[in-house]
Amino acid sequence: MSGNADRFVSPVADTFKPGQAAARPESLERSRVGLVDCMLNPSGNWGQGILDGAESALHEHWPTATFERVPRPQVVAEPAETWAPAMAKQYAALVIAAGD
Amino acid sequence: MNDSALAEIEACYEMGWTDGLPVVPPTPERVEAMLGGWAPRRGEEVATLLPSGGVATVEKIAANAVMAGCLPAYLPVVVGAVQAVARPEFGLEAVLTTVHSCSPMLLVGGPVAEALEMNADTGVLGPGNRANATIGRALLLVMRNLAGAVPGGLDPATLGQPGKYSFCYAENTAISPWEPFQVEKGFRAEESTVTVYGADAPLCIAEMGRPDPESILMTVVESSLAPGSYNAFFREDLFLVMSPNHAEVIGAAGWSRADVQRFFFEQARLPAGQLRRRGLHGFAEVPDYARVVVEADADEMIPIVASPERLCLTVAGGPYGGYTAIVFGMGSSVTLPVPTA
Repeated sequence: MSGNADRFVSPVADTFKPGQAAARPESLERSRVGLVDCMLNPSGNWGQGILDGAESALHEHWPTATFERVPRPQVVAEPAETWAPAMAKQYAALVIAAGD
Repeated sequence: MNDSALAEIEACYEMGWTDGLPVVPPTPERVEAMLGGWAPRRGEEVATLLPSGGVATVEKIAANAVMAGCLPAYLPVVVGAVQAVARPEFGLEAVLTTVHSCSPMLLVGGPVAEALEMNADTGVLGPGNRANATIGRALLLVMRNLAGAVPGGLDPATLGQPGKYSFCYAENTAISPWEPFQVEKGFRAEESTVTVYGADAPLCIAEMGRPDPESILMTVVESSLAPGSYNAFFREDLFLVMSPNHAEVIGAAGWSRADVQRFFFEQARLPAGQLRRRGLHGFAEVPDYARVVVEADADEMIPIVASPERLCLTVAGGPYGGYTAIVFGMGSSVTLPVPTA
């Protein structure tokens, strides 16, 4: 930090309240991991690229985990209250790429 | 300016606190002066701002207001604006994290606009007025420093737009034939309010040859039929900043605000078949909000606002020239009262 900046009132946040994260499993060894492209515009393939990166990183940590692409091409097709429990029965973890 | 003052400004650049323009360094003395009567509430949480989840306290907002160049009298408006963008219906996370170019626009209504000597007249959407420029800038510095909307970081806007520096105005209520905008939102004309909207850059439309309501409004309508706009897909709020000249012609013919909204709703339509081939349409699966476009016959005319009330009609600008600015955008605008210390 610049010496000058020490004398200022910082305009950036001191505290953060991120959204509540989903429970994380201790390990993904021998687990099924779902990869979901929820980008508003899936035809841009940005979501698939993000998921490729996530799969690669997770595979490095847990080589025995298996990864499946889960089709869910729209954001609001099904209420999260019904979709999420259904996914929880099938997968140990979901990685979701979302945005536009 | 001496070397020390310049070094302080440079330090703010080094910290990544600025929008690219120089800022007033937020020294404790300046922040204290900005807080004024708000000082006892300095630690109060005004809002938690997505996408970063940063907590915006009164003091943090004041520090950003100092940097933007605000006078202390502007702070309540900035605090109110932060409260407004944090309301869930505004969709702050979507506005800030989209690759689209929208950014929080701020409309200040009621007596506070006059008290702060805001510009509602000639050049209203341009530079030159301290309150307009710095209040809008303060809100957007808050977006950067507290909400995390740093270009290339949590703000991935492909193009961005000049309104990401500052986009703040007041209505020209002295000339407008209609009640101020905040009355439409359930507030009294005597109440001071802030309205926020996820706005694109304004598109200024001229109509000076045909001084009758239908011609003016049809020029605006046809200019708003941009199938690649987010409005053509989401069909949410769309702002007009109508010049006094246009408003006077329309108002003098006996048209109410509701008449203008109804006319726009009925006329500003595109064929479903055209919409399906353009812009954001064309997904493999269609979200619910766009389904009306997919399910309609190809020649069915689809309004670009889902209801007349989605047209947000405001009046501002100088007395000469027949112009209306169309402000495309996304989401719903939010109007709140300006808080007091």
